[in-house]
Amino acid sequence: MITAIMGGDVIRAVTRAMVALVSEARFHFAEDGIHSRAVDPANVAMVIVDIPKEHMEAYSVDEEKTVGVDINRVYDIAKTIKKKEIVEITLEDESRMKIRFGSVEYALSLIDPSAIRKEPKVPNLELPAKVVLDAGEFKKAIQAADKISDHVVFRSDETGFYIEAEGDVDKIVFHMSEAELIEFNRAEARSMFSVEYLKEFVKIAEAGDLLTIHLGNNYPVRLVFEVADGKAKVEYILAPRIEAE
Amino acid sequence: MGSGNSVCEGVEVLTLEEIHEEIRKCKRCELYKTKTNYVPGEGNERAKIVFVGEAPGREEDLQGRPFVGAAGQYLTKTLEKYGMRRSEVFITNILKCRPPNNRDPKPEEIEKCFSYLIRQLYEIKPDVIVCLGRHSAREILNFFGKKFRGISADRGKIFEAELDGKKVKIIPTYHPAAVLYKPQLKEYFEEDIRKVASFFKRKTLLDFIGE
Repeated sequence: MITAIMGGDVIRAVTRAMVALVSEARFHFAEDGIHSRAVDPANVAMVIVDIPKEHMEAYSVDEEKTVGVDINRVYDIAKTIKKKEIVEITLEDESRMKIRFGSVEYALSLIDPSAIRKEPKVPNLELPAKVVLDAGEFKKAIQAADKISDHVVFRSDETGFYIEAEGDVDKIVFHMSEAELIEFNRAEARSMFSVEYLKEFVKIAEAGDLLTIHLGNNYPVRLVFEVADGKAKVEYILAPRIEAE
Repeated sequence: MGSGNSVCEGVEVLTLEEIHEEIRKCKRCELYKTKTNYVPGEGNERAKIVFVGEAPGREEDLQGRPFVGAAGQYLTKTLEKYGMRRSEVFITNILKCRPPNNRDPKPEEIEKCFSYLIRQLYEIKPDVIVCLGRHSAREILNFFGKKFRGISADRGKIFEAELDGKKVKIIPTYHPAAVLYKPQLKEYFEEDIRKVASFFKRKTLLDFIGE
């Protein structure tokens, strides 16, 4: 038997993060917390979710279990939960999960984990630039870029971190200097990415959340969001677009 | 259909959604009487790649969305296999209404409907137009003044044309429904979609695993 008690904000953020890429995923209920990772069908982006044991209200595991979850259904349930509401998840076996909040109890049928696409290998990436900023600012930049282009360039050098989008006639440059960033190593890097993915990723971000960006040169980017007041970590790895020559 | 881009001359510039609203009120041919829903097309209004099929089928007619039946699911999976999401491309058909019993489109239906497609293309300004099936390939290549020699002869070829002053590539391939009907075409179809994906200029995570 496994019992996990957490805030509504955690289950909402985590399921929102997963539905951006997949409709089904394996969740591991381990001694140290709940973990999941999945790659989208186009193999362009990966999501890695961790809810550490110490960030839950309570967590007990008699025996570690891996279950298959219909993410769309859990997200539909999670949307009805208030952020500050307490949610209790119980797992007696691999066939059914109970989600209790307020006076509601959902009994959710689980999916055979072996029927879900194999979990991806996490690419071993050496990314020189590290930028830490307010996720809310990043969200604003991506939403602005989405209005004029289908791609953005992330760029970092000693003058700061830049997000640039260029449409047919308009151009947007988002720039944060070292003084405006929470952490910045001034390394040079540049890669281009699809806005279509990024605009889904930023839906979990709220002003005040921390976002760590690891950026390389024409390499995948790692976007590590600390969501629900830092109680859960959501990491996206996104493959780059190739810049026109 | 005539060559050159004359269909849009003198036509008021509208947004894609405004064009789709106009399509949803269309009575230019008789097909509006038998259709359930108009199927203008869907996807990214700034798509680099536009896929053009022939006409909506039964499922598309019921849902008002293009390529959502069995052939559409196969197309979606093939796009994903080569790193493209449906929401990143634009998908539509030559005809925006279903011909009864999925019969072939009549020339007068194509003639009346074709300007909608061209106006969609003017608005999206794609780099690549993928013609799914012989009807789509014939009409689009003819419009751009290119000779169409049949789908088996021309599939996978890259035709270069100009759309509103911008270079555009036209790549014909088999219709996904034909591939489901004749599995021996799958190899060619997927080869063509892989070629299309190369214009998408994107890597996948698989390119970085094992480096």
